[in-house]
Amino acid sequence: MNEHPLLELRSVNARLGAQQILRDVSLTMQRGEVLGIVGESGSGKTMTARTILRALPPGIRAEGSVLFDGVDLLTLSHRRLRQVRARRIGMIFQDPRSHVDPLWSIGDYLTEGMRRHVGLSRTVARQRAIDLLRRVGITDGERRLRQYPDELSGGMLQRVMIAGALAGDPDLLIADEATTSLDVTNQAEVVAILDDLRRSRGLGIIFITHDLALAGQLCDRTLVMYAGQVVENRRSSVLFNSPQHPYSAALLAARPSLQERPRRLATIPGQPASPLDAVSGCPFHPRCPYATERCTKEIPTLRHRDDGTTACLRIDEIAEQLVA
Amino acid sequence: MAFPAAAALRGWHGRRIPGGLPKLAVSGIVLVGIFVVAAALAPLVTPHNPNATDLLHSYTGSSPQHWLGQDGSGRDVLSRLIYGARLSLLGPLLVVLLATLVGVPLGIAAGYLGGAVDSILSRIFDVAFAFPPLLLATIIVATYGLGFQSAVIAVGITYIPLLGRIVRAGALSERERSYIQASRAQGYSALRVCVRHLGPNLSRLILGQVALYFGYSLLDLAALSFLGLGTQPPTPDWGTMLAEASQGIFLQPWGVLPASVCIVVVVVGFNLIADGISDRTTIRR
Repeated sequence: MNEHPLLELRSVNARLGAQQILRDVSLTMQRGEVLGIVGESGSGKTMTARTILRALPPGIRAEGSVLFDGVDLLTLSHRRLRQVRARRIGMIFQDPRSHVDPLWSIGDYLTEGMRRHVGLSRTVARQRAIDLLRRVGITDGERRLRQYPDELSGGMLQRVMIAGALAGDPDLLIADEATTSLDVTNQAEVVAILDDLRRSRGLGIIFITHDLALAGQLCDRTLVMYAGQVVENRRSSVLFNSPQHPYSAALLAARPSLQERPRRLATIPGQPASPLDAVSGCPFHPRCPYATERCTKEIPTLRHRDDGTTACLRIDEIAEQLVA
Repeated sequence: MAFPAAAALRGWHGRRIPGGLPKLAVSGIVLVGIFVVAAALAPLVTPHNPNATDLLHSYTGSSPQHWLGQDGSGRDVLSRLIYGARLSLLGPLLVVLLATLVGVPLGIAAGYLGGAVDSILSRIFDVAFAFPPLLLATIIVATYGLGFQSAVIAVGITYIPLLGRIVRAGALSERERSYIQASRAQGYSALRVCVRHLGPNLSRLILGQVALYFGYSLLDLAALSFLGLGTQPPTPDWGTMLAEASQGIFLQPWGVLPASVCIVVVVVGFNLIADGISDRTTIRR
């Protein structure tokens, strides 16, 4: 096929004035791969996603390069960028209800793009919309197309959004906390749908979440972000058993467990660092149990380690102590 | 569901209005409707030719042939009132049409695009806004000639900044909403997002304003006609009728009433409609 990776971010920085929102974010993903991005609120997960689509809030400027199929989206003309947004990258959001136009029926919503961007006729587009709805587990598509967003439940609407994101037959789907507002049953079903899409049509998926269990279940690789930086990037199977960064380890330790007897949940001391606070050295050092004086001065960079990357200055010394 | 307002919104797209329109708006529609029907059917429902003079019976009171009496030239007041409704209703309609066609796109452009476009348009609105509307209209009419047409254009121009500013404010808050951001992310152009998503979602705001302006502009046009700047005699409209009746106010003091009452009733009717629409608009926020 193509020698380019599906998506490659090369040292992407995003700034709001003097404040650094994203610092040196790099990642690579292949076709059909599911990449998880996890981290606390404000860690830069959503900003990373929005940088890819160049849909940043006003005032935020991104630098670096976002290579999608070898083409840098950050320097693309507005016209070409619109084509990429329309046909090649789909995005779904945490709160489906606020992301659809309340005045448009489901049918209008799903067919607008197909008629506009793909040039399908009304009847063909409607048939395709019904097929897409079936794909995401909605069997009575004919009826749903005539309904309005306020007549659908949150889980149903999220499926509609996924169907809408698939309408342009994209290569990449960005799911920004797409399951967070759903109940557990719907969550599991949406994850199953995404997993099926990846397998059946080689859809690349960026799955942004703060639910580690979900990330571990669905994602091939997982990226851990903290304060606008990638701190660890590793195969999920490895990451979730032997994390190679104190922050990843702390996140994993804070998961509730069904096996053990109820106890107080482990927490990470301190407040989540915001990229807005300027912390010298490693951004995690104020909360890190392994921090030394060196960590307060030197900024760690991502280094290769066991088939992944880790940004920790002391990882060689402390790796043995980190357990999931 | 928890979104009755969203469903109610759809009424303006010709789909359905759960719970119907508010009662006040319905009464407004009925009030205005009576005048619209009368104006449309004027040749059928008027007892006399509105311009037929009968100088022997000038300033005659109510009689079985002339229910509302005769004016200074002996013309039938009721017939003139009904024929006058045509221009008196058509004028405001054209005014709000002009204000909407120009004001809404400008307002959306200013609110949605922001930046330099917004600064320039907003300053223009501010300057136009600084003039008293009627004075501005008088200047325009005085410059471009008297008559119905220039009166409509003049008043229409004064309503453009009014509507433009309100639409700009609406667009400013609406563009931050997630579904607008999402349609951008789906690769739709700014023009398409504005025309297909932003505009329709502002339609109730716009409709509410338009109903309000309809009443106001009727007053403005009547004032221009009263001053002799608008519709020219003998063509009847309520403003000119008022002006003519005022000349005979000592001979027939109640002669000003029929036209005044019509103006007041229609203005009140449109205010009721505007209120009804605005009530529905505010639920959503």
